[in-house]
Amino acid sequence: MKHTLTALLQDHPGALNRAVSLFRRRGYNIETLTVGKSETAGVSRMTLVVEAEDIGKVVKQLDRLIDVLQVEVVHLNGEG
Amino acid sequence: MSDQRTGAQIMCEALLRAGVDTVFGIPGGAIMPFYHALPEYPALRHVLCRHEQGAGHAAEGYARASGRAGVCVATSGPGATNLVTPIADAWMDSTPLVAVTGQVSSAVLGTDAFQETDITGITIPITKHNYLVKRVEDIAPVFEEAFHIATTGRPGPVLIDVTKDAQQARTVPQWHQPLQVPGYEPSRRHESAQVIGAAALIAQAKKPLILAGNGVIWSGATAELRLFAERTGIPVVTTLHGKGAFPEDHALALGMPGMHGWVHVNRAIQECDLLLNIGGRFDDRVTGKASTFAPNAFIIHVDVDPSEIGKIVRADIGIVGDARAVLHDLLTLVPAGEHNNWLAHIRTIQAQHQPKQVYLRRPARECLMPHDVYAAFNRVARGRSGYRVITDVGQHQMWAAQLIEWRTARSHITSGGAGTMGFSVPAALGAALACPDETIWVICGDGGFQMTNQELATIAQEGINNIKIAIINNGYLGMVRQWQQLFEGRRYSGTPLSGPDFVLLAQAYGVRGVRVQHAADVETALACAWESLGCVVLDFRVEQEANVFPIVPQGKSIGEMMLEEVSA
Repeated sequence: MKHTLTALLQDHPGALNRAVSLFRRRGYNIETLTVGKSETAGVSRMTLVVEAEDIGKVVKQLDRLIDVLQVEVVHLNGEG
Repeated sequence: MSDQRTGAQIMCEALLRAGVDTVFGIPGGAIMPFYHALPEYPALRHVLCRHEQGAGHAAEGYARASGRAGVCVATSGPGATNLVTPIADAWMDSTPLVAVTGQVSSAVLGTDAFQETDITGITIPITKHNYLVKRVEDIAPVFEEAFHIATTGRPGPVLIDVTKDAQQARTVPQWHQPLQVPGYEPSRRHESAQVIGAAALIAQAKKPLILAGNGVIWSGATAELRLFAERTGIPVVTTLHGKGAFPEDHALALGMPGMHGWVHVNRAIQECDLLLNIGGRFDDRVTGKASTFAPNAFIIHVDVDPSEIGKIVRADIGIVGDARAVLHDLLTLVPAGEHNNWLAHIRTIQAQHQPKQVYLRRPARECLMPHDVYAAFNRVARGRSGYRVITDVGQHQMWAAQLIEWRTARSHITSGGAGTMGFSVPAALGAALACPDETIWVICGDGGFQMTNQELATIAQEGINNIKIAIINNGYLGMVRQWQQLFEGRRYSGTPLSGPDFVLLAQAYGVRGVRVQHAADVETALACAWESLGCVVLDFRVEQEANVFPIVPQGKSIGEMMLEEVSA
């Protein structure tokens, strides 16, 4: 099932790598990835679309990362 | 400019400020500035290991025995990559480990410079956090943050990779800056509503069980666990890493669950109507086929790591919090009670399947059975305190978990989640330095021993006298051989294993070696080793095809145990 996630990351080298690593580890292919500055200085926003079976578990593991400040699964029309 | 320090000096001071007294490592080009500074800090004992993997496991052993962070140091490139196995091991077993590596100078990062390896990239999936430090100003705050992260919440490994130029540059270190880790909340307090809900369920349960894991030991909750079990009368099952969290000579202690758990323990899990998991992560070696695990139970899962709740086994109530704090609150909420009928029922199953009966049956020919060694160990250990047992990975490890009576926290130290063969000898080195007044026993197989026994040289050089090594030598990679025997028609592919003469090998390292081949000699050999000053290697030549039972075949429910040898 396809999911859209947004996460706030510390704007540090390696933060993005850590976050996307959790999808690679499970062999999930990221369809879309956008990262840029957020409205808060020093914080980046990542938006990501991925086909994943157990997104809830990945979200918890994302949230556990020291460089991740917040994660949200965005429910768009037609998504669960 | 007397307040100025080199980066390397700041690294040493940061270690001392974190309470570190011992570091395990090997020097090399990119970490040479640190080693240059080290003699100025005699309060930091450096232990020169023979391989960085040994240094990493030694730091783990130090941490697991003492409850404080262990520290290992290596150079860039192969030095750093040799730390990958112990870092992964510490990650799987939630061990606070701070790994410090030198890195090539910042000017040549990314150019495939001599001994350059992207160790922060490599260790992203196996560290709680890691750092690449390129500026001398960052060393002090990064070290403070690293120790904070490694030792709080769910402990784990943190790697700090410091470029050579940052170690050489000078600055005035800024200590005790406010920590900048807004994405990390290790001390978040558990929700009382969930604890109240859990207490209500516990009060109503007719057939409840406690499953105690590593979290009980790391949160220092053994006293609370005992009070809670005694107040409620709920029997206690301990995981491999929970061994020692609850005394196994207690009337409520049942033993270990899972793949090599006793029949009565696994049956109790399958029958219970409430399972309170405190500080365990429902490892697959505990649950077997997870969808069939504890099918009749309300499951309450207490874990300090929110991502563990519901990861493997559904939790009817998930409590994110510190095991000790949660148990403390639960104690005030649950009524005193007993579950004597339920306990008697479990004890009846236990009597029917006398757990150790398979080990009491001897083969027709005269030989030393591995179980003889454990039985003798229990006899020799009786009445003694002040000892730890470090096991490696494989059959000998499961026999130790099953057959030795574990009573105190941190007395049992092993590689669980990662299952790292070669863990025990270097981990014992670390434990021996953390607990110099105790006796550190290693029980390992001949396979694992041959992976890291070079650390005997370290033990000899450091003059360490309190390590006693018992090799359960069966001439096979025994656990794999057992699977091949039971599930693959005795096709012993890649498992027969010859070794050097371990007695001569020990002597070559300056350590006493003794071979034991007869059951009658085991107890004396163990007692003599225990009493004698100095490190001893005991080479127990045991029956080659002895097996660990019961065994739950991989992927099966823990209700489907093989109890003993059936014709393969």
